[in-house]
Amino acid sequence: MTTEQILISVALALVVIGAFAGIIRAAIGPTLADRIVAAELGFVATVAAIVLIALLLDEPVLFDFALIAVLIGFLTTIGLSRLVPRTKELRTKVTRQDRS
Amino acid sequence: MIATVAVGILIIVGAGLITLAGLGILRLPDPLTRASAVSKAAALGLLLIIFAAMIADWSVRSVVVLTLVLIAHLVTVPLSGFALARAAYRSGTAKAPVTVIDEPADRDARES
Repeated sequence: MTTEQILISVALALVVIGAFAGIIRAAIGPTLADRIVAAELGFVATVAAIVLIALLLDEPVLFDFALIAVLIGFLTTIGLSRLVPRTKELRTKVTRQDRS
Repeated sequence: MIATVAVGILIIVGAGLITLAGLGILRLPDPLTRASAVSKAAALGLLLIIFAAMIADWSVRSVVVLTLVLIAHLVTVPLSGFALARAAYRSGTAKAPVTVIDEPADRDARES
């Protein structure tokens, strides 16, 4: 293994540690919002892992998968955050016309 | 040689930032601060890793695709972070006692 491959492997291990912390938070997290935050961290770690694997295997085709994974992660986070039940309404701003 | 050193530093620092985001998601007290950890630290870590990939694989196709990844991530991370934090705030159970800044409640108190 060359030095670069060893560095990429170490970086992959660090990314996996971060994703594992997200899995722990998704398992214990008290509220639904905690679990969605953990899912978002999982998506970022997935994209980083795809880019690192593309460097490790020297396969530039895998960068396309990273692009798709970014967009899927965004859509999933938006969709999941609509599922959080709301108990407190954010008050809409009272305009001067409403007051009079 | 310089390129190899730069790639090594960038990917190690970027992966370390993602690990720090994982540490933050475990240690921070409430969903608002955890969302902050994910949308700042992990986004910066991914940005550094993408820069490293650009340097390591310097061809037109790779740089174009990685620039698209970079732009897509940098545009969507604030949106998803904001939607998530707003949903967490509206669920009402989000705030830990140590989180003292509550700007919507401050605004309501100021206006009423």
